[in-house]
Amino acid sequence: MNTAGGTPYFFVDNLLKKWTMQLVRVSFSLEKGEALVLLGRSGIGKSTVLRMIAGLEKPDGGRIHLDNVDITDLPPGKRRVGMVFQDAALFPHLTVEDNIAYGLVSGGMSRKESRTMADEWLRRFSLEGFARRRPETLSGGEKQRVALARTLVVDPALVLFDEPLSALDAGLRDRLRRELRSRQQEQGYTAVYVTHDAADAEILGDRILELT
Amino acid sequence: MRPGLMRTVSALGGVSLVLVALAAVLPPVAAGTMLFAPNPDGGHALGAFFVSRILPALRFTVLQAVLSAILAVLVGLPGAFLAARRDFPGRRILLSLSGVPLCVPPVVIALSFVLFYGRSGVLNSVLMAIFALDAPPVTFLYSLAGVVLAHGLYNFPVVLRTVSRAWERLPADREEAALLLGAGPFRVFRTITMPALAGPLVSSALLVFLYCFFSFVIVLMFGTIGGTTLEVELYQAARNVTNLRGAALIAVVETLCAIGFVLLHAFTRRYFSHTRGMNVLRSRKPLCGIREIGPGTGYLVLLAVFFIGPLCMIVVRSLTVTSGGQYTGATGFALSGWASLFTLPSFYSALAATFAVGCATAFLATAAALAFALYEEKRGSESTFMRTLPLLPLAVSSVVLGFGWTMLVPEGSVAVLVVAQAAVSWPFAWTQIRASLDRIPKEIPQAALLLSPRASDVSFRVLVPLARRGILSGAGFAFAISAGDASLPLILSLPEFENLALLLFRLSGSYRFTEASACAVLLALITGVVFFLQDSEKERSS
Repeated sequence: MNTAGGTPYFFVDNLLKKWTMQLVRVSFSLEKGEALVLLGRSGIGKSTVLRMIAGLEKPDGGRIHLDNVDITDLPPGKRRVGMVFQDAALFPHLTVEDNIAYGLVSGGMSRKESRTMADEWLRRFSLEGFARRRPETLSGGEKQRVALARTLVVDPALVLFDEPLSALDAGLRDRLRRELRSRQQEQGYTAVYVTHDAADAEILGDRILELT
Repeated sequence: MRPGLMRTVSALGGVSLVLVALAAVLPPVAAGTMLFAPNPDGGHALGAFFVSRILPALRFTVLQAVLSAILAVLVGLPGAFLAARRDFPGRRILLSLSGVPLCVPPVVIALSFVLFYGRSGVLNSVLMAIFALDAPPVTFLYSLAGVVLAHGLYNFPVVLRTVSRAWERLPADREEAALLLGAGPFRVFRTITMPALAGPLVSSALLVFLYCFFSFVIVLMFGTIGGTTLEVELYQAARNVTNLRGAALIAVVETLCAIGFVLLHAFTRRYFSHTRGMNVLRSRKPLCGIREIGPGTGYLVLLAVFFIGPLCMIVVRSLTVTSGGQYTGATGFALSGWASLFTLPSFYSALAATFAVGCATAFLATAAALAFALYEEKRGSESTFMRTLPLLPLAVSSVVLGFGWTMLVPEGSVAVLVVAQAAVSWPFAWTQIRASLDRIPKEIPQAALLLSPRASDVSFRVLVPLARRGILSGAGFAFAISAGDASLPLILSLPEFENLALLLFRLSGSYRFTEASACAVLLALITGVVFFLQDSEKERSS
């Protein structure tokens, strides 16, 4: 679905990062609710592309537009971009519930309201009973679910996934990639995944962009 | 935490940082400025003063620091091997000695050496009794050898801890590959092990060199005429009002030399950080065979007698009463030394001053160190310059700080003492906080950054709680440094101010060794607690 005026919902235009011996340059666009997979071998710069979109790394050139806003120079917290990291990156000093509520409190919501909302998301992710637990007591799959809930609860305009399945064993990996796909389709969030695994790419994305 | 409160706390951290930076920078600048002041009548010619006093003092300073660092390496290296690669009863005690240089004040060490190695000390008493001698055979304490022995033994745990940490993580496969290629154990050690340990070894030796370069109390007590360091020379010159320009020249020369050594040390630290890949702890073998048990036990016994012995002597001495003169009369167990200490009119005010100034220093140094560390995190780069900057206050000694501040605020004040001590302890507080922050996986603050419209939110809600043990540990170090510091209070000569370290220095100077020992035990107990706090933090983190 194109936004008014025919501009894609999300697009990166000649996004460039240079290293001494290597560079990565990409251009692509996404419509709202679409899922794209960036596929490529290790070290080619896939994660760097995600980190530039998130604002965690400064690009050497190119522009990033999201929902009719040029976000290239915005700080990470103001881009409305969420990210699920390879190892979930849950805050180890906070409970599962407070992890999920973190972004809501940062946005100015009261602690009580944010906890109520976090509990609602715990239910959506079948994580009832985990509210008071610390991240180190969770399994790999549970951690990734909490990380996804923490990302989605603040209603980001775009969700980035940096190798979200690579730290999991084969059985869990297969289960979780199907779960990720069905959640993305149900909830309709726009997503960019990074993976080096073709099987992950097949299931997770509407489209695949191979970086070479 | 509300955004308004975050802004207030951030501003306080910034103010602390500015205060501490000024406290470190202004004194050497004031000394440098004095060099260009007009030479008053009767003042010394700086050129002649440089040749006659500064050069010999500089030579002695470098000589004793080099010899002390060599002794520390010679004593520390076997200990590092034992702690890293062998299992034996007492290994944890050996490792815990690393707290001594940081948490046992130099004035306590000086007293322990007087009690053990002094002409009337335990060692001489025992040797005279065994060999029926008329005169004490050990007479080197008040000489270069005494200074080097005190410095070397005081600081060898720095080498031991740093090198053993690298040694226990040294991958076994490199040594095994060399053995399979026909190299003998010594060749493996020389060609494989030593090059891998060169970074930590040089880094720790340089740190010991730097500590000894700045040694004040020990040299003041054991140094002789023609055998004083720049620190002592500066202290003596600063007391002579007609030679303040000479004192300023010493301060400038000393600080410039020290900046060079600090930069060298920072460079080797950087080198050490490149060997971080050594993350896997190797399993330790028990000591086995006569070739290991013999030297290993001998080393541990020598250490117990000649290093732990003097420290224990303080406790023994604090509980001993002598009749008929120092050491020579009949001795017996008594608590009169403690009773006498507790009834000293100045004791309680010194105790209160130790805690009050220590807490204020810890707060200021930690706030400044945390502000800088969080600024580094926000900036996100790990440049050598930013990692070296916090270490630069190490180049400004206590005596230079005291001298500079005496020129800037001649009447002195406790506030000056607090900011000056905060400048001294800031690098230690920063190192603790930095280490804690470095252990946080980088994705954690990045995840928080994506969920937070303000960077301060990430600092206060994620980084500070996760680094809290490092922050507490840094505050503990700053407190211990302040509590054990006799140098700055002595040089600033604050009217009616005395902390426990200064009281101990004065009691030792007036040969009241029983009360001095009781005071030293109390001080070591207060400062020693922080070592166990920071050590347990590291144990938990690892």
